[in-house]
Amino acid sequence: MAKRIDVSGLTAYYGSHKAIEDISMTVEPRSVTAFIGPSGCGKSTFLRTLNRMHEVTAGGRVEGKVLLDDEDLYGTGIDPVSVRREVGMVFQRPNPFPTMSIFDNVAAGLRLNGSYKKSELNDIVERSLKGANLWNEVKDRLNKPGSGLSGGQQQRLCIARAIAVEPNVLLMDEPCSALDPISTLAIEDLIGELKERFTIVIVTHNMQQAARVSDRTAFFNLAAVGQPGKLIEIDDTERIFSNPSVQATEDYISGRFG
Amino acid sequence: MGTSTQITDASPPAPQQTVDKRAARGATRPGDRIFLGLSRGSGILLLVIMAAIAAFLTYRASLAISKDEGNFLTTFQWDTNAVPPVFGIAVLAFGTVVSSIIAMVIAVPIAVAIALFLTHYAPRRLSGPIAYVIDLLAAVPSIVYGLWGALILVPHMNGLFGWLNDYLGWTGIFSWQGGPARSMLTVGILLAIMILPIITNVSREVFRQVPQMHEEAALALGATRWEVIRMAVIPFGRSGIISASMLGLGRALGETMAVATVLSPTFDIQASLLDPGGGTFAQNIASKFGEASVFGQDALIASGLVLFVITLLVNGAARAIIARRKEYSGPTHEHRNHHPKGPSTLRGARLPKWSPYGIAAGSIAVAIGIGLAAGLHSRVQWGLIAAILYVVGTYAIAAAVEGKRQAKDRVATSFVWVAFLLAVIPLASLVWSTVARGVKVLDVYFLTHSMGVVADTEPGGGIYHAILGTLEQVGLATLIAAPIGVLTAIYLVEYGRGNLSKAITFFVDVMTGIPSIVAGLFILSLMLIFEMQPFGFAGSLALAILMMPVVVRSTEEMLKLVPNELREASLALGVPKWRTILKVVLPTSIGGITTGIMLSIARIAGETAPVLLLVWGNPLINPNPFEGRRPRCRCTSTSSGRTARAPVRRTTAPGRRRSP
Repeated sequence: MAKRIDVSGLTAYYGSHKAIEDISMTVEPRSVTAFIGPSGCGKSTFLRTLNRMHEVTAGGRVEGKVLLDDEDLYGTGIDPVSVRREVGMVFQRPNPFPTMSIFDNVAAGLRLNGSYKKSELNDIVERSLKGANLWNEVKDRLNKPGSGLSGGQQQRLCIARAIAVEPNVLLMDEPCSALDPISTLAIEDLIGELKERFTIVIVTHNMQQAARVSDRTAFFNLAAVGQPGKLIEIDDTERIFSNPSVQATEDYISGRFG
Repeated sequence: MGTSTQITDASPPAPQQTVDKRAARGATRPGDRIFLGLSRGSGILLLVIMAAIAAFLTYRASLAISKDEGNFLTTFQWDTNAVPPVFGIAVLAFGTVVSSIIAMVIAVPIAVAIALFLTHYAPRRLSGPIAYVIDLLAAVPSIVYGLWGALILVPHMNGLFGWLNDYLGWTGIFSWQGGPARSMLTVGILLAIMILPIITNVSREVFRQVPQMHEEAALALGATRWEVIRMAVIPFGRSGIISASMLGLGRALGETMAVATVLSPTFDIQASLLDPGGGTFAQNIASKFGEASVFGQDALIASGLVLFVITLLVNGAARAIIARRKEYSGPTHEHRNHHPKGPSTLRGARLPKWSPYGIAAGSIAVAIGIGLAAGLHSRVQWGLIAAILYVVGTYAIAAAVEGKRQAKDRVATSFVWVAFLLAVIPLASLVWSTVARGVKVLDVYFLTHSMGVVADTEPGGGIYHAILGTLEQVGLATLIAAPIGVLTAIYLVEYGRGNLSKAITFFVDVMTGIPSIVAGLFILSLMLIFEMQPFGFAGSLALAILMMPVVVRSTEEMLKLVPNELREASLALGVPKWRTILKVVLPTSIGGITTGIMLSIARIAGETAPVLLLVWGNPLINPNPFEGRRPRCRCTSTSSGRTARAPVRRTTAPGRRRSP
């Protein structure tokens, strides 16, 4: 059920400002692809174009193609709502719904999209929480509010919520930047397990993290402030971190700038 | 639902999902379309109502003005029964503007100071209950303020008036011939007291929303509390303060019952603010309406139209100011205080903790001394001297010991405290006198009997008919206004972009400032056109018009507080927008929205003027809102037998509750 993403000639705008320009890449199914690059280079913007969340922001606009197994997400008649069911997302800061319990948070995507029998929901919630390595910690307090969990637990709850609707692709926008090292480790382990079932794309500022979790790494950069961000190169993670083909990439990962 | 063809099947999500093209054909889903249509329709309805108000008032007004023999704008006379009729609004315009200016000059600085006091100065344990009481006071019906003003404020003004006459009488503005203090200045002060809670309320909300990090950034630069307020809090809240003031100004301009109760009106313009006389639009409408013929009513509608135009202009001006100030209202342009030049040691000289009390006691003692020595009789004067001494003393002593910046901070602190204490006196008196006087007649009999068989001049009877009428009309108004208001707010926050939402936002602001009497006149003009008799539902309609903008504004604020991340989290799960709004956004903000609706109910429950115009009232019980005069105790006279009744209502006014 994991799907391949093929992006070609993608340009995204905020109003009249061009945020990213002419990006083309392929994301392989059942793998982890990491986006790295300095702040403002458009990694997150690009990530958000992959499930049509970019157009939610005022003035957001996209040109180009994003193929999900040969189906263009920006083709005519495509419903962004259906796209987002296929391509799930985990945000930088954990954002469980404050009015819902842990159980309801995980079930939210299913319940808000249609009706389910209680027993089915129970199964799916348990499966998702187990999938997010959170089941053992919360199984006795499923009816407590999700906001009562620790930051790391909240983030895993958000992952459980995202995988409960069984998407094909999981986008993660700096999922660990608000977490401590222990919680980060838990999430990274989880990413390793999830890639057996999903196509995962992760934006990270932490280069060690990119090296640890990803199979392929894409480096983004921008020529100057105010210029659109561009994809510099994408390659196997090992190669990017040992022998990148572009000088700028080597400068960035060796800490010479950015 | 029909909107989610993809996962509605009972089986768990099948592994072979594809982007469902059948569901995807067409730009939006039916659910989204219906919901958008509903909310946009509500917004448009508001615009239509505004247009209708302007159109119908203009129509009825033109009927009257075309027969007016005098110049409508400059005539000092209001004689609609004369043949030919002669009337003009010069006196009313003057009185309305003057009393409102007085009210604003007094109320705005004090209200802002109280808001600062509650958010930044008061001990936490104190600020909660005080804020609650002030919220409550904002919902007190204006007629209660009017009764309090007539019974308590007017007699207490004599001291102040004498003092002003003695020292400032030569200006002409403050000369006083010793008549009763039912004058423009008293009205202005009463209006100031009335709008104080509203302005305080809104400003406090704005100050509370100043991002913690802005204040911490200022603190981290070594700013004193006052400097934090000047650098971070005031710039952030400036546009909020302006809109709060406009809200207050709107109420002051259109206040009817309080002015009518306190002022002894004359139809001329006089220089002195202290001598009784003058008039305002709303007061004139209320006092002339009872005996007016249909033509007379049209003439009053014409004056209401002018009032409407004035509120439109004021709101437009305020919005222009806010728009121009917006780009400047960042905390970044204040550079002077960023580099404290104080001594480099960490432990600067500090005054001991008791020093404010010490200085206060000292200045009071000196003031009493001066007062006795100079033979000053007026206590007001003693207080003034003490206050001046206190401020000067604090500044001088603190400047000497702690440095200039600390001195400024201390003066600001004492100003904020003084403003708060100053405002507490009338507000506490209001609460005390209504409760103390009202409780005497309040018993079960009073609550369960009508005035049906009791003459106005006799004791006895009760308010059962009034309770019933209030509940019925307020309930109907809420049923109309709450859904429209909430849907409009949803449109503005969740969908609104472009000119339509700008127009709606603007007119909602304008509508907030519509004097209640104008809403009443609007429904009245409809009733005149269709030749209907007064009936209860007309009152409900006018109340609904007053309620809608309040609901829109408060709901809008609450929806804006819902973090965008939650919307995105829901959208990223593939939830359609309308379900996101219904299931995620609304539940998150439902507490605040309910509070807003309760507040607006409180506002209209105490509304007097429009109900008086449209419903008339009836001492008997009439449960049918669509026929005949409605029972409604909005005490039509100030005869002593009735004054005791007003207090009952205000104790039932729902207060504001803070919800998580």
